[in-house]
Amino acid sequence: MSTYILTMRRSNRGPGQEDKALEDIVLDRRRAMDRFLSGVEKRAYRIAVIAVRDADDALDIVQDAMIRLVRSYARRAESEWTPLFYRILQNRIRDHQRHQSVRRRVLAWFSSATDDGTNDFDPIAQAPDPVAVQPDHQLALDEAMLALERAIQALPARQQQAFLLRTVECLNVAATAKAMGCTDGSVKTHYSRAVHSLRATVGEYWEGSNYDE
Amino acid sequence: MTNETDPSQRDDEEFTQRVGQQLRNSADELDAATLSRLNRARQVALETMDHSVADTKRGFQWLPVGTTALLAVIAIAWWQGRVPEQTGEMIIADETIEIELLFDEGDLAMYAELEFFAWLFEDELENIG
Repeated sequence: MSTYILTMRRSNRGPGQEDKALEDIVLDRRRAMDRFLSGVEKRAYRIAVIAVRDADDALDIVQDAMIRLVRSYARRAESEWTPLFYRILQNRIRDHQRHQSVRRRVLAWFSSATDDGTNDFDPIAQAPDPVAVQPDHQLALDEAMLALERAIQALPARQQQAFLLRTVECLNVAATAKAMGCTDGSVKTHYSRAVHSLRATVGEYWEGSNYDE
Repeated sequence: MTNETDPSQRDDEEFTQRVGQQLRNSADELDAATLSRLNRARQVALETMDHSVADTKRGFQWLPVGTTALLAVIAIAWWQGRVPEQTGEMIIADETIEIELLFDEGDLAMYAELEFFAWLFEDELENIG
């Protein structure tokens, strides 16, 4: 027969004081989560947009990742939130890409002429309009960004993930490995290959000091 | 062994710094509509945190009720002399009441929930104490 021991000790605080203490704990945790999410949301959105090529889908993915982080990992230490959040984000992006792949195959099977929206993605329209930039420089920058995003989209998934996490979010190798669910060595390999591939494809757009800010 | 950085590696680093900076700039310069939608997404996520906390508080509120009911059951069983599988003893101190209860597996489901809330409640209060 298994036995269990339950020990309960009544504190000297009144019920109202205990409720207040609990509320303070919860409020602090909520504020911390709010600060964290507001700090990562914009970069996470850019990563998602580049990966899935659709602004609305990217927003849904980011929101879903936020909800999952809050529901499952809010009690974890704050230092763990970044790799956890991007792990969730990458999983959602991968799920979306798989669904899109299946959808494209189904549409191709039925020889549908429906536009699935991928051609509607306009990186130039999505790109920001920097203030106080000369028109010719702006044009060159837009072209360079467009070429860069297309080249990133063409990368194999793991190389794309490693490159975006390291360059956009500036995660170190260890944090990137946690986010990707792989070893440090794998991250270095994927990242190195991505950089070499991108330099070979769009390196000429980025030579010189025109884009140093 | 040379201390100089491999030129190719240096070029890679310059390239990634430039493109990384531009990608981060593009994230910082999102349009107002997108920023508004991101803000809304964040609020929706934080609301799930509030709901989770509300559920936990409701559990805490029921803790003393459940414990009182449990004590009543034990007291009745003890009074009637029917405690073949349950024993209890109560120690009353000046400022604390400690209750040690031994249960069999039949009360596992109810016990598991009470134990979790008691542990969580004590852990949180000790952390702020």
